Amino acid sequence: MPNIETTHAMVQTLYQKMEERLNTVKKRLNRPLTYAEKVLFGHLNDPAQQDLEAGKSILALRPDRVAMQDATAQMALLQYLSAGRKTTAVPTTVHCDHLIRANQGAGADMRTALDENREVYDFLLTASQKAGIGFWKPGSGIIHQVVLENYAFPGGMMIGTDSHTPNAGGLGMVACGVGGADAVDVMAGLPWEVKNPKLIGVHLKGEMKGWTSPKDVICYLCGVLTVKGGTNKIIEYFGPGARSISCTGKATITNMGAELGATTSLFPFDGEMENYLKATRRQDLAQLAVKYQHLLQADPEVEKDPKKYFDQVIEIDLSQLEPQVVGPILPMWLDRFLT
Amino acid sequence: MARSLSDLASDVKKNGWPDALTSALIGSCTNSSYEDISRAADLALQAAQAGVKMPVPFWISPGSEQIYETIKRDGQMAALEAVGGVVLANACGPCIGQWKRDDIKKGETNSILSSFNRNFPARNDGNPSTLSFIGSPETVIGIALGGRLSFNPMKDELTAADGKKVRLQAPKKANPLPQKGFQFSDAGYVKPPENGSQVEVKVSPTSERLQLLKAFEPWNGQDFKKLPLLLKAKGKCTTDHISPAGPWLKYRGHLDHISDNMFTGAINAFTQEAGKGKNLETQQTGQSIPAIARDYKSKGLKWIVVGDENYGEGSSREHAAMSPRHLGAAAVITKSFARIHETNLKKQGILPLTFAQGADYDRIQEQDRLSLMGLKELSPGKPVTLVVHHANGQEETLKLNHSMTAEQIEWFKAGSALNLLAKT
Repeated sequence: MPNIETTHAMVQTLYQKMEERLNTVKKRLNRPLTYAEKVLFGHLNDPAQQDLEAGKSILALRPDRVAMQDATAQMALLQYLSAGRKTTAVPTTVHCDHLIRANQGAGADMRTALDENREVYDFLLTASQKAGIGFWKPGSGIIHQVVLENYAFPGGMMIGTDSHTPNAGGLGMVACGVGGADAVDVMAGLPWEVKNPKLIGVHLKGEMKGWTSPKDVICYLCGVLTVKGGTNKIIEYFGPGARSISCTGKATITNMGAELGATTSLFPFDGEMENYLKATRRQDLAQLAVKYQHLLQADPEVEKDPKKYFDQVIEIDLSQLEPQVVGPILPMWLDRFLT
Repeated sequence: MARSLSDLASDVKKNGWPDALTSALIGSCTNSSYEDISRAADLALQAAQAGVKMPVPFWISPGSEQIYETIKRDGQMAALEAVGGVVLANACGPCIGQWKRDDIKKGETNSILSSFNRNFPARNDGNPSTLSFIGSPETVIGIALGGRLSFNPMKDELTAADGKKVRLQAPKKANPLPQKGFQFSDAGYVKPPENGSQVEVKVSPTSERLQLLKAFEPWNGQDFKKLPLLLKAKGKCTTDHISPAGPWLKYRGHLDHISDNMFTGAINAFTQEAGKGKNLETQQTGQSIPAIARDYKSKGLKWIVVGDENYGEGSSREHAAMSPRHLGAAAVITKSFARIHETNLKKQGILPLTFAQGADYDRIQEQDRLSLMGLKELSPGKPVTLVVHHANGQEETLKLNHSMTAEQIEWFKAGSALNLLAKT
C-alpha cells in the first residue's frame, strides 16, 4: 500500500541522510548553520556540487511530502496522470477545502457544496486513488491544519500548492507554497528547484501576557517588513520568546509569513513541538526529534551572535507587544491562483 | 496597515472608515487552534454571563474535524454559540472569498473583522468595497462584542441587555493542548488502494470544468518558418495578464475552456489595447487574441509571442504556459523573463528566447512573420537565429539567447517535460 503517513522509519532515514548531507556542506562552508539552513541543505539533491550562494543560486532539493488543495490539485493531477505515472514518488495528500461556499452554516453549506462540486470531487478522489494519494474529503478540514495534525514534522521539507503552506513551519518544517507544475515534478520524483533564500532572523524575547497572542507577533512584523519584505527570504524565529509560544501559535506566525512574500517561515524544534507531536498521536516522532535535536535547531553560535548569521535581524520583546489590528487594505503579496 | 489595538479608534476616525462592524469571523487555518478557540471562548463566556450578545453576525471556521469535535466536547463551541456564533464547515470559506454573503450588497462600503490571514480588496466576500480588518481571535471577539471598530475591549465597557455596564477581563491563559486529548477523527480520510492502476479516473467528456489532458505533440525536427506574430506585449505582462484569474478560476481543470482567457490582460504594443490584436491570416483587426490563436491553430499554424522585460512575473501559475502551448505557441521572445515562468514555458515545450540586444524588441512590427533557424543545433549557451520577415518584404536577422540546459532541450524535443517523463 502506498504509504501516506509520516512514519518513524521514514523520518529516521531522513535524519540520517540530513546528517550526511550537512557534513558535506559544513566541510564546504566551514561555519555554524542556522536552523533553516540545516533543513534546506539537509535536503540538497547534490550537497557536494550545489552552488550555495544565498540570494543567487538555485537549489535543487528533495522534499519529503506534497500537499494539494482541491482548486490547484485539479490541473496538477491532470498533468501527473497525462504522463502515465503510477504511485507518487513521495507521500502526497489532497484536501478538499477551497470549493465550499459559506452561506448559512456547516450543515446546509456542506450539502450545497457536495452537490455543486460533485464532478470535481469525484475526479480528485479517483485520480488520488489511481496515483496512490491520500484523499481528505470535503468537510474534513483545511489543508494546513490537517497537515499540521497529521503529517508535518520537525526537520522535514514539504511543498504545497497553496500560499499558506508555511503553516507547517510551526512544527519546524520548511514548507513552501508552489504552483502545480512544481508539485507534478516532485510527485514524479524530480528534484524541486527554488532560489536559495536569504535569511531574516526574528529574535523573540520575553513572554506574551493579557490580550496579546501569537497573531500579534506576525501582524506586528507585517508592519515592520511590509509587503514583499520577505521575497526570496526565509524568516527564522529564535530566542527564549520563541520557546514560550505553543506549537499551534508558532503555526499562526509562520502561516502568515506568506503575507510578506517569504519563501517560508519556521521555528526550531523545542518542548512545545514535542508536546504537540505527542498530543497528536506521534509519540515516536517526538522521541526521534529529541534524539536528533542537534539537526533541528540552529548551531548554538547563531543565537549568541545572530547578526553574523542572518542577513537581517529583527528583535521583538513579547512582553511589550500590544494586540495589533491590520487593515483595511494591506496590499499583500498575492497570487490569486494560490489562495 | 498594522497598528496597536489602542490606536485603532483614532485611525478609524481619521480615515473615515465605517465604524460599525457588519460581521466578525474567527477560525481558519491560521487561527483555529485549541488555544485560540479556548481564549476566544473565555471572552464569549464572560459576555454571556453578563448578558451581552454579539451585536453582529459572528462566524466560526474550524480548521479541521478534529478541532471541531474537540471544542464541541470541551464546551468552547457552546460558549461561542451562546453569544450568537454560527459554525461554518471545516473549510476555507470566507477566508478565500468563498462567502455567499446575503446581508451586504456589492459596492456597499462596510467594515468586517476577522482572524484570517489575508485581506486585499474583495478577498473575503467578493465585494471590493468591504474593508477587511485582521486581528487575533481574542481581539476580534473583544472588538466585535462592542459592535464597532472604535471599541477598545481592554478599556471600554459593554452594555448588557439590562443596561448594566461590564468590562471584559483579559482572556485567561489557555492550555494549548486539550487535557483529555484531541477527539481524533479521520472519518473524512480515504486511503489509496494497494494498487490503483485499475482505478478509472472519472471525468465526463461533456464537463465544463474538467478535461483530461492530451500529450502535446513532439517537435517535428524542423525549423519554425514564417510563423505569424500573435502578440507583441508591451510593459508589464505578468501571469495574470497572460492567464487572468477571477471568473476563469472555475475552469482551471479544463485547459481548452480556460484558454479563452489567454493574453486577454496583455497590452498590445501596437494598439495599446488589452487582449486584442490583428489576425495576419484574415487581416481582421481588433480580434481577441485567443480567437486569433484558435484561427491559426485551425489552419495548422504555430505562432510566436514577443514580450517586454520580466515577462511572466507574478506567480507559478502553470496555465500561463499551458494555454499558449495548447493554442499553438512555438516560442516566446522577450527582453527578459521572470525565472519561474521561463521554467514553466520550457516544461510545456515552448522555447523561451531573449533578444541578445534588448533594443531589437523595437524592430518587431505588427505584420511580421518570424523564423527561428538552426534549431537542430540547439544546445546550451548557443544563440538562436531569428529572421524577421517584415510585411514590406524586407528581412532582418537578429540574435536570440536562451537559458536551456541539455535536459531542458530534451523537453522541447519531446514536446514537454511530461512527455519525456512518460518515456522513462
